[in-house]
Amino acid sequence: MRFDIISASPQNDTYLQDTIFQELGFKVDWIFTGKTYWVEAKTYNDDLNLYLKDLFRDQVDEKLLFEEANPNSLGFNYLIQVSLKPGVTDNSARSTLNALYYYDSYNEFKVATGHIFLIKTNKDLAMIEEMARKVLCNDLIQRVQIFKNHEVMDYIPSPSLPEVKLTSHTPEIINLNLADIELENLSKEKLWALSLAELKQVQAHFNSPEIQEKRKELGLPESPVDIEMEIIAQTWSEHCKHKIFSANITYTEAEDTRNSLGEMKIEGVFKSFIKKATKDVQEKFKQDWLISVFTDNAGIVRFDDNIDFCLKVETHNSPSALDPYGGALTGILGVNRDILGCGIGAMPIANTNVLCFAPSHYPKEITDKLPPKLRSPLSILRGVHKGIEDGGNKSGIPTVNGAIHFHDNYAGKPLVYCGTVGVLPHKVNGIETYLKRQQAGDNIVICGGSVGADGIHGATFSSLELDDNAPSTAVQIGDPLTQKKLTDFLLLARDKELYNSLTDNGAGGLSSSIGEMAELTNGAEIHLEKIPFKYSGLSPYEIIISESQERMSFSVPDDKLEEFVALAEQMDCNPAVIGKFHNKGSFDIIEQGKLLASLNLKFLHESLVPMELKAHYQETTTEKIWHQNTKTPSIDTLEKTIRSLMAHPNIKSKEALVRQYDHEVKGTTAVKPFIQKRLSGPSDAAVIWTGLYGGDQKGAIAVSCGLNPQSSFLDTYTMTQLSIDEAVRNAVATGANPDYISVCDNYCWPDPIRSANNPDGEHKLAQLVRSGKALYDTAIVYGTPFISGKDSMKNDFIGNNKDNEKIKISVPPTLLITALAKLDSLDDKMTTDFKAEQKLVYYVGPNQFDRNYFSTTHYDLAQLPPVNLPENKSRFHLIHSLIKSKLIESCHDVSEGGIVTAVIESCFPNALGFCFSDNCFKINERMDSFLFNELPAAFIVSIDKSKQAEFEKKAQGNARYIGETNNGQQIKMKNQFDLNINELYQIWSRNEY
Amino acid sequence: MNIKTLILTGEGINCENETAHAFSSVGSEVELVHVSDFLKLESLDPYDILAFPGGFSYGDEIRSGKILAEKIKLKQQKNIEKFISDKKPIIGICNGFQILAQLGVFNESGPITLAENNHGKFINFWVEMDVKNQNSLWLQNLPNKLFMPVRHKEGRIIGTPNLEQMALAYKLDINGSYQSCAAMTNKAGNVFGLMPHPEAAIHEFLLPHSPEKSQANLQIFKNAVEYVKRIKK
Repeated sequence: MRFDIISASPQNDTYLQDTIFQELGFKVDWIFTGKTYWVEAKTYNDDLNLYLKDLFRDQVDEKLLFEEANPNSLGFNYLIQVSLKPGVTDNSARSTLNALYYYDSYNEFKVATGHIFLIKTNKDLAMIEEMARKVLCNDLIQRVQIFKNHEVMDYIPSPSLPEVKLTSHTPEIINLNLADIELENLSKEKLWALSLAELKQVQAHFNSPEIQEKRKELGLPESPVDIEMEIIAQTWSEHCKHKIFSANITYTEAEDTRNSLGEMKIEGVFKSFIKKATKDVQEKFKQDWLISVFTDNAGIVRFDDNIDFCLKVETHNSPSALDPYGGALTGILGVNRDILGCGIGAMPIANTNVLCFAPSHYPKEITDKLPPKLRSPLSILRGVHKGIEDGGNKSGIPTVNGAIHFHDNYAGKPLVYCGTVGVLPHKVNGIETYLKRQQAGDNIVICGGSVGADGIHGATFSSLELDDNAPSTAVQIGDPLTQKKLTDFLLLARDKELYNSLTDNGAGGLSSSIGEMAELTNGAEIHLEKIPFKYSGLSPYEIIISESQERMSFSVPDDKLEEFVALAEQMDCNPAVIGKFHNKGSFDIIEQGKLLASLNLKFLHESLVPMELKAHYQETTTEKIWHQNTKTPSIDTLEKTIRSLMAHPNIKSKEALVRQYDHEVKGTTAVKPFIQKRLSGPSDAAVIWTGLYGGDQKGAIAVSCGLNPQSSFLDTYTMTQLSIDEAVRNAVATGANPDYISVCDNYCWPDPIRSANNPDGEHKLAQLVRSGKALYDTAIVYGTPFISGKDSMKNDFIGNNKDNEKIKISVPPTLLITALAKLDSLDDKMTTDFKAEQKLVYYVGPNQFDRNYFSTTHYDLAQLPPVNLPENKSRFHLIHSLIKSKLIESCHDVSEGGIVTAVIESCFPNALGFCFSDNCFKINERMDSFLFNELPAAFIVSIDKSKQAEFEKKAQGNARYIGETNNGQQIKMKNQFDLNINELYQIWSRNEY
Repeated sequence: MNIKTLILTGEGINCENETAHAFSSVGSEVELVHVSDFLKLESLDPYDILAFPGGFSYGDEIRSGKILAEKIKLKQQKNIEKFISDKKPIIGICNGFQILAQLGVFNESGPITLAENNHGKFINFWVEMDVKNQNSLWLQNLPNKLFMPVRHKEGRIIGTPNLEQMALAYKLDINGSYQSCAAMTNKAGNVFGLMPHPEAAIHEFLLPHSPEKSQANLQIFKNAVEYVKRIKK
């Protein structure tokens, strides 16, 4: 039976209509959207039919399409039906089944859901087909059927319920004793992403007499079986092992390099710079609040006498390029699971997201150059945005901070950074929470979703550049509901001490999660037949590496097993006891009592030899844009320049998008993403109250971010300093203590390994080295330890454009810094808005306003600012003491768009006017530089007139008076510009997405 | 006198902690009860107040609140009817309101439903609202205007609710709701359903401006507790 539901008074979906126009350049007359449910039942009767109708169709505002609505009277031309392909997660069906099972648990129901679209248009079928493919569905996961109106007079011919039909095969024996070229081809064909050196290492391992003998003893074939190769490939993937970050690098640079680093030999960027920075910072600043760094799913810092916070940021770039909605959604849910799996389980309390896209509205001549297989930038933005909305909102986790950054070279791969902050008590029933304690003999129990073919090869796939032939199994759709239930269960089970340890099942599936947990006990065995499947027919290796979502693995001692399983079942978390941890030194896969695979753990985890790489740095001052249409900015009047700044995609308000994220569920978001008063203005960071999480009733943390990819082509060393600075200054501006800030680094780099496809690999690697060095140099002065991080190293797209020319689009080297900071007290929280008229406004920052300046709109004048770290650090302290002594009423960091933008943004919330003072810049300074330069550690603060003397005394010459607020409507500078605040707000806040 | 509030949780509900915090701030005991346990309860008599918090029960699939309402209808309908006829207070916030609406408790003067906002989007925005009447136990001692955040996608009331059942109205039309209606009560006034979130607005520091207005939001919860104290005497 099918139930097609349409609104009782259908309305044209103007959003879809507009999207169709944006993507294809034509307008349909109207488009109505409806929903379809297919239900199969073992027994079917009138009662059930009636129940189903009332379940699916709201009596007040919906109708059944054929029985009640008379669709033909609507005058549509096409009816399009979109449904999910077999095996794709159908969240709507899952919830519907839940209701039906409750209605009649003996009836065997099957449910699938889909959408229908009724369209009025005179376009021909071919155009409608293209439209359906581009706008209404995603080929990778959905199937589409198009009917002309006369074909669906009384009913829609139904496709059968999507059902997965797979034929399982027994494990295949892989012969590795091949010529080099054949080995490499094999790796490519199997999507292992293993290099020749690694393949040779595997070959040697299996050929060694010791292993040969052992395998004979165990009854395993001499050559590895496919499961073993897949486990090795997952474990050794760039995604899981971070081979580039661990590689030995010889760094050289051209003569006369600015910020020269000299020649260097580096034993791993991670070890030499990041890990070392944390260690040295901790010693130098005597920080006793780092609880767990780099060892767990997330970094943990101490907050007060009762609670700790943890932070993790991940990227989900490749999946988001293929299916923006599903990619972003699984990205969010995945990083939430990192928090759930941190220590013995933390509670996620806030999400962040930073997105990097190509401009949303390319002119046609540029769109025509885009490889046709790539999704349009606008559709990626909209899909990712929706994924983040559902990922956070449906999980009940507020999305509190983020950014959207545009650059042409994100056209091949968008960057989707998802971060989560979690909280955990120091102790549960007297036991420290930060340590994992799995024991040999513990049962391995998985809870949450079942295993399917979705998400096979995600880890290895993300370690390759994207091309035209991406596999659809790499795409998954997350289910926030399943994960929310898992979260509720997990925290309850933690507090009842029902398990010893846990981890999330992410990239690499069970092979990675159990494989990693087994390191601590020195062994594990998994019994394949005990794993719950979505459908039958999966091959053993697929079961082991599937990244099907919303699953966590627990280590449960025998005496707690019964209670654990009972609670999980009661909370609908689908528990399955799938094996045991042991201490035999191996990772074993067993099916029906027969050993299928056994890998030596030491070989698996510790034998990988670091790569030897070369890096060479050669400065460039011009940036390569993939479409090569670069505009030289024209010299405009000041008023025009300010207006164009306000309209610049990297500056203009994202409020319309951000307000679709729930940013205050949980009732603890004290400083929200936008300050909503008469108008709205942006915040620099989020502030979260800790009182509801078992922390101090007056306690608060700040969460902020910084990134600066527009400067990467000039120098990644300075780019890195600016990124850390931005995250720190955002936190400090919002009231955080500058001596209590921990950060997380997330690298998204273009391929830094030289090859035929990638001739400038050595330069990109050198950019990475420079960035790593800057991370260390900055952290050691700012006192910001890195507590967690991640890197994604193949953010390139290679494919063909319409003229069949090969085209490569690589992202700009991008580093995201996320800061997690402590406020001494919630009372210190500070916002960016000028509070009223007649407030005095000061600039607190470096005084570098000469000819060279760096600006979002004047990139040809680009000259990166020198960064004086010790001065910046003391300025952070100054701002902090000004906040604590209640001398300033607002504080906003100066970033993209310079001082003038920061001032205008601070005027917005209360719709104030502002007049720059006559002597705001000095005789030897340039006005445009003063207005637009984007400097590090720079702030705009406002004070009440009564505090002027005290403020200036405390600032000791470090604050420059630049003007006063008024109750007029104008932002002005005498003889230079005079702009209306409401007009600027119109420009700045217009939603184009 | 002990007053006990049942806060429903699980299956995608996600505002249970702050709702519990609001009730305990005004002196009620709170008990978080998982949906699976709630459906099995023999009686609701041990509880004085029922709270259906916000969230996304069953992922908002089919229609917000629908699936949980269907389950309640099958197993807990009678007990809820008794709770209502006993004049005990029930509050449904956001998804909780949607669940109560799907249960039909506001249909006394004709069916209503909560449909997608007329702009089709989820919005998180602070709104000013007028208090439309003082008939309900929940709406006592309130100023004329309230200030809270809305956080929903399906909050547009359609149908033609009786005016005396309209509890709160948005000052500005934010989603096309019937007469800008933001909240309703049943005729007796003991069941209160509202789209905005008072539980996220009971502390001064959570309000984007006019922090003093947090008191009125706390008063809503206080009203229920005070009312129970009076009738239990």
